[in-house]
Amino acid sequence: MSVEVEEKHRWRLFLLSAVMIGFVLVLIGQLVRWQIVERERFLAMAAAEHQGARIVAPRRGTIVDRNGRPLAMNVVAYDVSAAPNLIADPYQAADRLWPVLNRPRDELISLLSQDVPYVPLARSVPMSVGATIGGWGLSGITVEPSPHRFYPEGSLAAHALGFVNAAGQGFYGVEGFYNDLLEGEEGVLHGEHDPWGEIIPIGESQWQPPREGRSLVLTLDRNIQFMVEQELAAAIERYQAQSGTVIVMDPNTGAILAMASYPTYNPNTYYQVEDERLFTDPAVGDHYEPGSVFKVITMAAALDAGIITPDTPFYDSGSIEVGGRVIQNWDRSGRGNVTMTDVLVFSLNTGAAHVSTSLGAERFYAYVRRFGFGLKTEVELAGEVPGVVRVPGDPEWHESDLGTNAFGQGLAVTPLQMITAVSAVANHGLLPRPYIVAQIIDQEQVISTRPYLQQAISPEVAKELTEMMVAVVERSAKLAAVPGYRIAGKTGTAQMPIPGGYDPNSTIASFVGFAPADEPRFIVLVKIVKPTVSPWGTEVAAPVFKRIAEQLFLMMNIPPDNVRQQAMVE
Amino acid sequence: MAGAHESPEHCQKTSKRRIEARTALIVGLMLAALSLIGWLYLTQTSHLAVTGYYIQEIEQRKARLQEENAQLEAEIAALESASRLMARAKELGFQPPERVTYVVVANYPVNEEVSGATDDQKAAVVDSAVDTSPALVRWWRGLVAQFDAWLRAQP
Repeated sequence: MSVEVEEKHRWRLFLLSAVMIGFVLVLIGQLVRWQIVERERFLAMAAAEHQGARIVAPRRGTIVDRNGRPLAMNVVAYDVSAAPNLIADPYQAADRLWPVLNRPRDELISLLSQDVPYVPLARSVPMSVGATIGGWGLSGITVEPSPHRFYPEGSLAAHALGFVNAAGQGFYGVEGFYNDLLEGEEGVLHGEHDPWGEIIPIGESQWQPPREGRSLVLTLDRNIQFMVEQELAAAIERYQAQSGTVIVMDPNTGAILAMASYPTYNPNTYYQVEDERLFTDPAVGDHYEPGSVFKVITMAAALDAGIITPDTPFYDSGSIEVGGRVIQNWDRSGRGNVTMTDVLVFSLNTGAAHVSTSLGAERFYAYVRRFGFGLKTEVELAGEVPGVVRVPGDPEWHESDLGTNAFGQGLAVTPLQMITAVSAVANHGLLPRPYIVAQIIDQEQVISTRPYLQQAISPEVAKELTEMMVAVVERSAKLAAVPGYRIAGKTGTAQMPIPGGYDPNSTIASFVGFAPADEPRFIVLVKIVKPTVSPWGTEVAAPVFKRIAEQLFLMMNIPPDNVRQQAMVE
Repeated sequence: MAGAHESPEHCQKTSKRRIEARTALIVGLMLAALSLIGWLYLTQTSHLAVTGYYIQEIEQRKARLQEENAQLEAEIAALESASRLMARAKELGFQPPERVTYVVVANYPVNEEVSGATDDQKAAVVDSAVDTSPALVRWWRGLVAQFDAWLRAQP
């Protein structure tokens, strides 16, 4: 009997032990799973319970002009939105909101009466308006602060600056070109958070600070830019033109002092622009046939190659045949025996075509490339195009192009390429690389742009060509002359290409000039598209140049030539 | 003698009471120490929490002030914009000069390029040409220089 009982107990003990061992094994298995196999997942789950991360947005870099005047800066604006299904009385809410939001009362009532959870009412309203609406504590109305780009000068230099959209992305101009530098990099604050999700300031935390956006110092001069924009807008109105561009540059360095195009827009309200083409900067993003201004390049090439001098004779019969195409002068008349200076002064197409054919296609296009045509200038502006230069070997190139290209027809350049190329004449034959950013400021570090110059023609040729361009202003483009100053320049009147030929009623009137001729301090390009009062560059663009030059002499403190020379002697 | 009357049970009881009292004292002291530690911990934690929220509040205030500062800077920049200055100048009756006359002043210090000079020397010339003295001092120096020039010009 006792043996049976003992056997029974032993069996029970065995069973109990087995259960216990099994239980322990399950426990061990789970522990292995939690502690080893899925350790990372559970650690992450545990961390998520009390750890959080806050993204800290960097401040976008500012943009100032060469004298430190702010052109683009950051402010906090407010976005106002509504949850109409939470608004009990839309009429009462609209009554309070319409005067401060500057929106019609009926429109607001209509918006607030909808059966939707979200309606944007206004974006980027000023801080004062946001604070006022937020202070009312209206149920269903939300006021949220958001960083906002502000351009204190309004539409000034809009094309050069570009704009920043609501998501903080820069487009066009330097905002677009240097978006990565300007926007900086986000920072992150990892740490323990409270029940409301806020990081506990004294808790354990890891702080990776944001990298603030770099700031830019532009080469633009705010005052020159303003003056140029005023003059350009007045010229467009005076000559009843469609559009226009003016660039002012330091020919010695390539620094752009002003760059204006009209029509323009206000980057503060870029979203109101209906035609997006307005955002493109015509100074670098649109190309055009330069017309007779290009004769400066043809002459530079021929002088530098040694095939002509300013006094080389040429018989102008009024027409010349190149590649089976008859080229005529702008007035369809011939001037008989002339010199190369006369070819430039009277803007003779025949003379230019004679020069380019004498030079030969290979050398002519080599010089065209050397002056930077058909290539981007690499200026720090978004949307630059290289222009169009067809060369021998291209399927579309024709032998007659050698003749027409010589006087700026059949090729397309940007205004910036054109002014840069002529800068080489003003700068002892050294072709500058144009630039608009003088300095990049990265916290304590300042990176300055060093002018880059390349020899395009010899200094002697540049001097000879300068004298020929002075003769142009003194003898034909007299409306560009400023008493007391020797100015070198060249006019251009280009027909506008249309499918199948050229528009007989539209022109692009242009002028490029620099001064003082013996010691150039500035070079100006004026381009007026489709003037209706007069089609000629001599009558439209040259007077605009004169008005701008007169003011530049004052603003840049450049005395008349005789005063300057007298001061140098004494 | 009195001890002679104490029975062993009594002695045992007394000894047990003493041990209990000592134990109670130790436990009491431990409890008091634990309470003190707990109180200190809670006080410190509470103080840290309050400080933390105070820091948070100050940070928020700092951010608000930075926003206001940026807003004021933007307003100043807009008030100093070229278009506004031009409009204001016209309101005040200013207009562009009709005629400008330049006068050549003999021996006027012109910041000329120093040929053959190194970059540092040129920088030194530029630096020396920038007079950062107060306006009154600059005016006085100018006056003295003018007088000096006049004296030298006398026969």
